Amino acid sequence: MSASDLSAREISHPATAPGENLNLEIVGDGAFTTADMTLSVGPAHPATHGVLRVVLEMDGERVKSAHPVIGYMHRGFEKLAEHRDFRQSMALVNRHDWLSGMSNEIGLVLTVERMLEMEVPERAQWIRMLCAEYNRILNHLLFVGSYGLELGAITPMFYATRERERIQYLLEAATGGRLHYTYNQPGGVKIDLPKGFLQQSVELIPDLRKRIQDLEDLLLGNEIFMARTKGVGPLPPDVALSFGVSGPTLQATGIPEDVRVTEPYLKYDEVEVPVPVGENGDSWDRFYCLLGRMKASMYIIEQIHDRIPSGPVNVKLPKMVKAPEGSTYVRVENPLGSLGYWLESDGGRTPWRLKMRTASFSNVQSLPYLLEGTLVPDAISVLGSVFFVVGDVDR
Amino acid sequence: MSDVLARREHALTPDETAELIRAKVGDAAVLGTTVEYGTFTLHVANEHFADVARACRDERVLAYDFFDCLFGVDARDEGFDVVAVLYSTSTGNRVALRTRCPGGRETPTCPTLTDIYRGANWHERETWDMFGIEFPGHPALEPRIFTIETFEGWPLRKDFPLASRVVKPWPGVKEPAELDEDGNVIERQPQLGDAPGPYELDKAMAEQAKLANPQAAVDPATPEGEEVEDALGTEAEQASDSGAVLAGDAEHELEQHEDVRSEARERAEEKRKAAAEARARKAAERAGEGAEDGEVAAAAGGAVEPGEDQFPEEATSEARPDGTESWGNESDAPPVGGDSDAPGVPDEGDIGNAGEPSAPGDEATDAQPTGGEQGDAASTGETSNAPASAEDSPATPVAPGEHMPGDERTDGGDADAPHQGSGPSDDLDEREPGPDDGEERS
Repeated sequence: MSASDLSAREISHPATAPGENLNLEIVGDGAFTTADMTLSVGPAHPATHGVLRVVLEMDGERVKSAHPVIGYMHRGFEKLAEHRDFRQSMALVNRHDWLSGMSNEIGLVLTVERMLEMEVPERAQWIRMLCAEYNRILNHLLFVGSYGLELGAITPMFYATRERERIQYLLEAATGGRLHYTYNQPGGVKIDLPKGFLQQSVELIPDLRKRIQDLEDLLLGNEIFMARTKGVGPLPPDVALSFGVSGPTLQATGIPEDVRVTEPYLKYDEVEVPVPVGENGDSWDRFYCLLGRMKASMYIIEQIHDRIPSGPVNVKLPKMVKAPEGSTYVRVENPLGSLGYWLESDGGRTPWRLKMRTASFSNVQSLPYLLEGTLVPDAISVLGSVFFVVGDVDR
Repeated sequence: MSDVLARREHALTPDETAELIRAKVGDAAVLGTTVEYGTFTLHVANEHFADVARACRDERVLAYDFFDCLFGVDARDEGFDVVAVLYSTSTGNRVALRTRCPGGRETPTCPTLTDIYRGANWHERETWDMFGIEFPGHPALEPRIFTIETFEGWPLRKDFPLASRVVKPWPGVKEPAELDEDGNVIERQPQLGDAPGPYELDKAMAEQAKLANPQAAVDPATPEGEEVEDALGTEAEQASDSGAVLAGDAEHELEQHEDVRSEARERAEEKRKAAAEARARKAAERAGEGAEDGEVAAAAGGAVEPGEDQFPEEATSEARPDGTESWGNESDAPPVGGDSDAPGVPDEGDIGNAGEPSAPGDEATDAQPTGGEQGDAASTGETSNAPASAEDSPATPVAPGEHMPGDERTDGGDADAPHQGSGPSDDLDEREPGPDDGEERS
């Protein structure tokens, strides 16, 4: 970035850096000679959620610059997708972000369906929404738990795991998978919801509401938590947009951007989707948005319970699913941000090009900006609050 | 917000956008526009790629402030395309800028967007890593972002083979493209002999197994195998139940058991032989007269016959287009009639306090935060336009301290004390399927 005009930016130290309250002066360059240290966080560090490596150049405790090193998990999904037909690709896309398999699948089937101009049965669309929202809660619960863990609170992880188990039980009943669902297919979903699914779902939501409230009570107003997160790693909205940051990280900057609202797909235009927004774009706001998105998902699920119709859940597919020649781009709101698939077809049975625009890739790209000038403990606070999955970064 | 012109209701159409870009950057910049499947693509001359992107960002009525992605596409003999997708949070428009890189397949280059959008940095590194497209002016394309530093070649080019398809031959159909319209296998050049693949290995192992085991091995899962066990079980039971055995006469009992067992085994053996013969006959018929044993075995082993349906029609037989039939999921539908709440209309009283969650599209209230004031945006020089804020987004923003819709359904209780939950979770495994009309919310 050094050559570009974007690098002209003052290093702003966070307002609540430890030491400033104590009237201690943090000695930097010039006071006495120090050697810069290079600290490699990762590739196997708990705070990086996978094999992400962040090289920190430090002056004492202060991070001078940060360089994320990615690619450890590159599996070549875009190449593999060019050798599989559209139904086989379903097993690929629910693996690049393994915590959001349902949303990924929905993204791909919507892309294929749009090119085939396929009519999808109403019930299938509602089922997709229901499963996607549960998947979103699953994803967020994990990050809520692990973010507490990174800041030294162990209990939220246990609470989150318990709630995840119940949702996973439900989704497993419907799809047969706990992580990689492979539940969607062009034209609908594989199989109808099992009997009693909605009954259990209706009973689950009030419990879930209480327990997510527990998590919120444990963390959001906690004095230690606030000291670690308030004012740490602020991200201005224009910078976030320039980076292409999306999801809770973007909403925390105050921009109410949510694909479910701005470009509604499935039946999201028929339900109300509340969008949590933050004020300063700091770690606390990012976490607040994550919790708020879970509540929004529960609110959507309750609306789905009222609205889900009966009927067929898939259409009969031809022997060959062939997308006509052309290209299209479809965005869906993944738990971690906006996911886009650019599908370019030459009329054959395999995609000519399937570009996966993943949320985590763009979010992680903002780390050098966020980490610059922070202290090492704050760097962990920032790393944990820019929510990403390394498989989603590397694909 | 009065000076922010770009708003959803005055969002430009694709044609207007192209016209504006032509007026600002020059007629030569825009080669054409396409709108296919809801995706607006602006075809841009390569040398004006960065200029067009800058105009898209800076023009007040366009305001493409969100950098979505940038990637390469293999354009066969003509080289490579680069596509940049931009989105405007204020107008809700999306545009794909597409350009053909000069330099053909040898030295493709494309102007960099890193001066315009921060996010372009990694996307261009990825495009260089995958396609070998150079971006002059990019701060640092190296080291390779995804592949290892010593990697040779450009993986996403079409002339770069997929490694797993080269390493070893694979039996049967390996690419979906090798099936024709009806699902028949397109004959391939015989490549299996090049190296012993799993298919050859299977045949060799089958031969060895046959030599070592004169009896045909029986899969316990086959019906014949089950019959053996059945026969053994029933006979043994009868023997012990016959009552002819005196208590304590264990030896006699054992002998009798042995007899019964061997009898049953013989009977099962006969059955199995008959079945095996029948199968072999069938296979021989299919495989033709002069077929060798190994091939017979292979044919009987379920190899995909040419003409066999790869995607059976029955797979989706559940979905029948006529709506007259029962789908079996009617019980999942919301209760109809007899209820003051019409299904499909959320009860206002349920949702929350009056006026709290406004419907999408409504004007946001004053209490909601106005993210991204244009003063900030202008001072930082990132964009000349304010990004979307509460006023112009269809979203219903919920700021900290405000109530999320549906929140009030939580039981109150002591707000200070952490909620202990409602006791241990019910074990879902043991729950009976609920009554059909159980979907009503309390």
